[in-house]
Amino acid sequence: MLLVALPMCAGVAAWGLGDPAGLADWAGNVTGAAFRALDWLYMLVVTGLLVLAAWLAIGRYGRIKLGRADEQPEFSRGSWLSMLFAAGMGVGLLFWGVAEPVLHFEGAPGPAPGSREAARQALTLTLFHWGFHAWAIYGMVALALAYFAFRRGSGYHPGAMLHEELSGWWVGTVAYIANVTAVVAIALGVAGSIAMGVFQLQRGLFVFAAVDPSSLTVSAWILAALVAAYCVPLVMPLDKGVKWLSNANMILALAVMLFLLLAGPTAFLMRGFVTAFGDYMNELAKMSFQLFTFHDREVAGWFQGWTLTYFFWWIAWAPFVGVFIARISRGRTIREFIVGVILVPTLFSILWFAVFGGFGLYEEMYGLGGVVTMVHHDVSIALFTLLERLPFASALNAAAMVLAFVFLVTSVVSAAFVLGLLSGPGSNPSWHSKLAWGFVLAALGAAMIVAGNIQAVRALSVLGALPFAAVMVLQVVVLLRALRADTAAPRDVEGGP
Amino acid sequence: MIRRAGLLLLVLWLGTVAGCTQRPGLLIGYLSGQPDSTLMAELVAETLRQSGARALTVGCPDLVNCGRRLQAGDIDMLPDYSGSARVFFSTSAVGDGSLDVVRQTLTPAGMTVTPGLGFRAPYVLLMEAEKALEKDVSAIEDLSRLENARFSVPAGYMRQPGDGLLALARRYGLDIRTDAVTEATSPSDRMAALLSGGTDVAVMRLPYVRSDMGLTVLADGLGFYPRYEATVVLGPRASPHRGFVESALEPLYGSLNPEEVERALHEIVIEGYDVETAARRLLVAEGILAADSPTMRRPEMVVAHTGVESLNPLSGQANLVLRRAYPERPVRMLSVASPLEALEQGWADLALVHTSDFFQLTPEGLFLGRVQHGEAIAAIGRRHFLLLLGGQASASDDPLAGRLGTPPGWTAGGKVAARMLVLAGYLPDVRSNGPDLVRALRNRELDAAIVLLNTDTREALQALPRDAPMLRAASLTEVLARAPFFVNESRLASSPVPGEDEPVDTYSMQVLLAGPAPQGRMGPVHGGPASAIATRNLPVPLREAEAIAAAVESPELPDPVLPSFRNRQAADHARLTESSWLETLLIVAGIAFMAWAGWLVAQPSAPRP
Repeated sequence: MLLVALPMCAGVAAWGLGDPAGLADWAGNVTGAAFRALDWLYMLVVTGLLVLAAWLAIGRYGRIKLGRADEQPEFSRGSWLSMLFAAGMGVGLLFWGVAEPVLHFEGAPGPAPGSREAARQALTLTLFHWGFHAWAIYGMVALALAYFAFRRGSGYHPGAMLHEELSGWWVGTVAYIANVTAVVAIALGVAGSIAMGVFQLQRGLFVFAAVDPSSLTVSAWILAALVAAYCVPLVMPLDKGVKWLSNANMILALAVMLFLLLAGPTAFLMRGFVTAFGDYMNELAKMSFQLFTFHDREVAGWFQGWTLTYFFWWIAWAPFVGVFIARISRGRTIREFIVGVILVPTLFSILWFAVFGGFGLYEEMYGLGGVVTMVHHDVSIALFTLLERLPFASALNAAAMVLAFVFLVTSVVSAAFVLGLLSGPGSNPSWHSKLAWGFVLAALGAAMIVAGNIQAVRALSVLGALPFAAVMVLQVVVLLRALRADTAAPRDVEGGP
Repeated sequence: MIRRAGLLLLVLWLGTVAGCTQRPGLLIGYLSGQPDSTLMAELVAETLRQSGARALTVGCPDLVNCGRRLQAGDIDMLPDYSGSARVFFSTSAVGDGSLDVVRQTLTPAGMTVTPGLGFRAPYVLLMEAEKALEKDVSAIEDLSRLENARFSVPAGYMRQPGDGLLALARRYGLDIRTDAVTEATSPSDRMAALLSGGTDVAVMRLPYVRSDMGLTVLADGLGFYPRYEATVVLGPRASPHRGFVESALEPLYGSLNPEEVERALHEIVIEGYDVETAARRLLVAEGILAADSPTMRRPEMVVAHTGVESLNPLSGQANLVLRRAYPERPVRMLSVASPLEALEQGWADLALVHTSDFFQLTPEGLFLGRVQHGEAIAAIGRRHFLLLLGGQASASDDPLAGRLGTPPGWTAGGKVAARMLVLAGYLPDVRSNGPDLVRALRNRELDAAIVLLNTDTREALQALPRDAPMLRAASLTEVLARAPFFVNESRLASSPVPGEDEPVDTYSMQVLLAGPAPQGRMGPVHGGPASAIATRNLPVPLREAEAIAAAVESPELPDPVLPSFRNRQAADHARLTESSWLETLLIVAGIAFMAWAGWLVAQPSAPRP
């Protein structure tokens, strides 16, 4: 598989370097056609995953343990939550915490842009993109992997469970394609995140120390620092390297959030949290089926550009985050798993966006203003310029940069771990393998930075999600079949082999 | 245990530090619909924000409401005029409006006023000059001679305590019928009523009155109106923060000069700028707010243009158009070799280009195809070509057969002229700028030249002696049977050559503002999380493109041969409404796949070994 996946990644990188516009156009056209044709299906599938997750957690399958009946979880609950959260969304939350609600405030369909109602809707829409649906995608992929890995012993390959549960001449081919798709999607998706993370750090340095925001040399230095930083945890066992980094970063993230909450308009932000939570719960069902069918062209464009793109991003990251979450979730019941993977991170996301997004909206509506203009100008600079308006701005900006950096490191470390896992035998990849993938990811990221065309990266990330969505459906199918078959025997509720 | 204690300590420390740095939240009242009041409130709020306060402006329907809210502690402060403050809050008879007196009056009520802000805005009674002359009215007391005088006053002003219209009537012994008084919140409505004859007398604040309007300010012979110094009345609610507020507002004291305030009000009332923008501009002009402070750090609009080609005055017009479309964004002109390529690279937001820049033309006049980087947004103007013939050329000669000059090959004019000549089967002999070509024609070094009529060339032509220019303009459309498809036939109303007044038929091309082209990028690259980094080389959003197009005064649309944002709109629409075979195939495949997945779920699992 490595011999197929690696040349594919290299080929894409070469195409991106040689003809970035051509690659972006091609990928954009293909994904555009899929968006227009299948938006209804993807919406249905993602909402279906959420409903299914709720049914599994509430129903009789909720008691099934992912592992042996007597098995204890490998990580403490706090570490488990912080690890899965840091790997799944960390840098994205930092990136979009301020920017997304502010952009919806000014440009989402519905209430008049810039109105009070628009502000309220802005938070609800953001939570829709980052809440239950996103984590349902991760959660269901991870659950299927964990179930087959810990109860059937079939490993973490997306194709392995298909092999295990399905039969037929086609299964081998589909399983192979699923594995290759997963590896390529992970490699490209994470490389894209590396490139975007480097850009964001560079903007942060621009605000912080007035370095050139578009200098390739500065980008190279940041990337080099990043590689140096993630090489250390890559050669350490997972439970030491990633756990320590994730915990440290989550504490720092919580500290920054808490500071913003207390030093900012505290009462407003807390009211925003409660209101956003209520609005989100209230609108969840409606939004889950909202395709803007009878709206005009611009609204359809907005839906594709935001909601659908987010869903595809989550799907693109699902093979990586899914494997990672599965790997750290041994010994938990399905109910505990779903609550931990879907409910808790969503609640945290609500708080996060209520604080960061709420502060951005507050500044736009009642404070110094100019946040919308700033975000329109450069999304990646939004957080840093907003933090500038708080006391101890330099320390906060430094903390935000450390957060972005470490979130990026944890993501790459986790991705390298998963890639090592998928491309080799066993459930604990060797440090050689992780390090090799770490360098491959850095090389891909470097190629994307040098190409200077992030559009190709983004379009490709979404492109990888198109086929993986089908793999994801098949994973859920085999999970349901396995649950039904296994619960038919009395031993299954007690625990696996 | 140690870790938990550490975390707890961290939380406590953060809470303490953050709590200590909590900024005061201040509510600043203003009279809704009164631009001077709104402007003052915004000036005060912005200055307070610069000191770290959270300042929010709150509108009240009239002064009575605002005053009561201030006294009740619903708002912290009210930027107002000293005279109004005194008569309102003390309910004493109209008298001295100096700040010291007002301060003494307000202290017992737990209120105070800050030092003056630097300008005064007394109430004045205005009449149309001609009517005032006709009725022999020059002072307020003369109004008694005016039968059934109609008044237009600010909302709530009629019964305003102390210095309201009824108080004025009592003082001057005027018989003012309440049914002859119209309340109009907006000063421009009152002014319009006065100028249209809808009212006889309008009550205004002085900064709204412009000397060129033909109005008479009625003299206040009895000194009814006190001094109206701009100040900030601090209510009881502001008491805990009084020291902070007074020190934070220090830069404002005495700083606002009347001319600047008048200009800001003109911007708001006449030019339609929002109050925040005018207030910030005023604060920057007065040196209170740094131009690069976070509030003023507006991202600039970078417009790429070819530096070697003089685009004046069209570049100035483009600048004006963009300032109209983006009043908040400064515009910076960036000189580059290829403006459309600068768009593609993300170095600029827009480009100022000629029609020919949308096509690949070699300096030799070869046409290589279209440039894919840009789309036209608005036509700013036209550049005309001109065929100049030397004095020695006779009318019967083929004017292009002799020694021929064109603009340099790297310029738009040079490329298009070369293309014209290629189509006509000629080649240029000399390539140089317009003034040099004019000089060469006069020196008989050339027989003819095709020049682009830019400012330099026009100036060179105008400098020629009227009686002996030694060259003449000829019709380019007659000489060239074929012209490039992207130039248009047009007529110069009069020849730019001195001594020739007749019209000249020629070719011209548009100068346009262009934005990055979509280049087939659909779906994920438009907006949304996908537009995270490279925001610059994405197409200008439709709403913004429409705003730019609307800001152009010329009704001329971009040449139809060019890709335009309007075509994008149509193409997008077509794409959305027409389902291609690929999309149909995907839908069928999707349904089939889901059906198959459902069938797989329903199938029993194979027995496990």
